[in-house]
Amino acid sequence: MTEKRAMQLAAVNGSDGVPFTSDDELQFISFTIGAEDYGVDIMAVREIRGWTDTTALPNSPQYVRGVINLRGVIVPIFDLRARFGLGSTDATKTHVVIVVAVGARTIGILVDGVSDILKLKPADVRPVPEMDRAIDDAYLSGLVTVGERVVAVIDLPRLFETSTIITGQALSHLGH
Amino acid sequence: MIRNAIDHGIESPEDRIAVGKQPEGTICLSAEHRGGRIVIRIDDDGRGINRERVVEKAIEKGLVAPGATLTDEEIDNLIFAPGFSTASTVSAISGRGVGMDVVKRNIQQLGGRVFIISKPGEGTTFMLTLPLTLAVLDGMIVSVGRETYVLPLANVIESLRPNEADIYRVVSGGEILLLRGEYVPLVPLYKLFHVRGGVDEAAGGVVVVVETEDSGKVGLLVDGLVGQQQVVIKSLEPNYDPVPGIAAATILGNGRVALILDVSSLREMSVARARAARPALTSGVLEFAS
Repeated sequence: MTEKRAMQLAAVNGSDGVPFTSDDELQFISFTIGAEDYGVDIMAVREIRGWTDTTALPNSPQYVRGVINLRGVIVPIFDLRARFGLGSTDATKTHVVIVVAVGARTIGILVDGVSDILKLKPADVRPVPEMDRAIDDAYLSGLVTVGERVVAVIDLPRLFETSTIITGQALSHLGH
Repeated sequence: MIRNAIDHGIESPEDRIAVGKQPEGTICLSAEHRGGRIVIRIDDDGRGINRERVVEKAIEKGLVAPGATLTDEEIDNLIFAPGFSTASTVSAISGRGVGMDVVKRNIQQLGGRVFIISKPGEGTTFMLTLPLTLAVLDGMIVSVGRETYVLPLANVIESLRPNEADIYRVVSGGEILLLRGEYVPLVPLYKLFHVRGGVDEAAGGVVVVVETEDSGKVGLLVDGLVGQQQVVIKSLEPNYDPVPGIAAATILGNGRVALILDVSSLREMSVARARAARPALTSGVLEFAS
């Protein structure tokens, strides 16, 4: 039953809405935020670059670090640590921005460092048990065990849905 | 606009003959390239704007206080006021509710301007100017704290270092600058955008007086002027959501992104802030407004 659910999850959360079949090999980029490991579907990743200073967007939520010039395109950068409510990242040159496509948008996510590329079968992606976690389960599409570590696979479209960003903006307005 | 010129501008043949004009009216549409902008003119040789009638109508609609003294130019510009239309009936040619206010707003959205030149009995000229390329903007670059912003030069009237003596604090907590006998509300950009490290004393910074077509003059308080530059407009929207007070972004020579300010929404934000700062009574109203 667990396996079946994992497959379902993997199926709905495939990049660009293309369902995976059980024989497909999935690849994830794994990265760290503090002591925790997270992963995103490699198909959504456009590039990985070092942290560069951003231009702040006025009155935006704390997790919106601002915008950068990515070869002439204005790309917003989101601080994933702050998005999960774990405080703002003190970004340095060693921090990494993963540029990903979410729906029609290109955005950058600020993480501490990129660790690995994981090759998995859809069945390896386990559902997220309900537990006391800092981040909402709704933003995770599954868990993967790699050796000793557990990598939480992030559901990017859900995490950066337009409505959440707008809500965040409205909330931050109220906060001021 | 051409329909308007035919309907309101040109008189009937009888009227034209009576004032010694050719019975046939002429409407001349021309376009030329002038100083990086396209100028489109619509000239008619009709009766000109009936200023008495315009003022009457404006008073009736509550746009102008009775007894106000207006210059001819101010009267002519009343026809761009929202909800203003002197045509009492809808004719086959014009008066379908798309008022001149909509025309003006659409042109302004493209970075253009509209002017009217009218001589009673001789005709009216509408002049539209549009930027040659919509993607390039003449900007004034200003600094606030460590941030750099671009103000559309078309909105900028002047910039000055204010004297402490010309700044008045008003009850609502805002500041007003007395500029050659005119009161201009000050909008401190650092406060509106929560920028840290900006100059917080009006007398220590630079005030850029900007004008928007719909909300009058405002003085934006910034730290300093960096310079004037043509910038390429890049939209934020493909990858992000609209940001209040920001029209678009651009990339400066150093590769960094600078935000282009939306002057009329800055004014609205500032008014909303002042309202929010007022206690109890008005807070319910603001909730609905936002």
